Amino acid sequence: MLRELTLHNDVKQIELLTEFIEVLCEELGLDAMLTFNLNLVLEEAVTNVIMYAYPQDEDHTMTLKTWTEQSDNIIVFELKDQGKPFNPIEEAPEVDTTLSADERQIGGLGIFLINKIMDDVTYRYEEGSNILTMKKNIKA
Amino acid sequence: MKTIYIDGPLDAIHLDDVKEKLKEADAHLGDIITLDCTDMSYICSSGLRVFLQMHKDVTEAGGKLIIKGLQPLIKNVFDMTGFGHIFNFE
Repeated sequence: MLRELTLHNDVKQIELLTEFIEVLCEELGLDAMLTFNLNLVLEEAVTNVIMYAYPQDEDHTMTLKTWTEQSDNIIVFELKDQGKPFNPIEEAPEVDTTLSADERQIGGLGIFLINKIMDDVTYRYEEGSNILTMKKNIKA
Repeated sequence: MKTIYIDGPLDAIHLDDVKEKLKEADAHLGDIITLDCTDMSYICSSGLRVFLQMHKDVTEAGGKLIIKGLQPLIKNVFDMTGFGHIFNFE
């Protein structure tokens, strides 16, 4: 089961993404919390590309591929863009969730949530593409 | 006392609308401000940041921000990011 979605670098495209994830989760029989959290992860990842990978005034695309592994136990999302090289795992600011409101910094929350929700997140830069791969055990 | 009602998804698309709505609180920052989130269906990290900024502004002005009626799946996002112990929930 391989599915693919192409999105432009425009926040309005989040609507298409949400629909794509909801249909996928329904077909996999995932519960409301997992569906909600996967939606959040993908929105954060896609928004990052929209905001940072390309100049705002240029039209570009990114591709989201998704499939399952190990008899549908693991769901994999692979997000690929041809924007400027950016490793969100290493370059995002650290988030300390124990701090008070005053001390909390504004950045890094999106990547933090991706790492928190997914079981395995890897980044590679290959042949001019940023490739972010995110895996989650959906039967645990 | 000032209550602001937030509904629908607080995603990247609706972020600016919600920011605009929160401006209603500008004249009441030193007061008790309640964000009624009973019908808010989703929140992304940019939404959390807007809430955090609002919390800072209200606290700085000597007021109190209360977040009311969060749905459990959204409360979970607050908890995952450590915001669960920052905000006043009702």
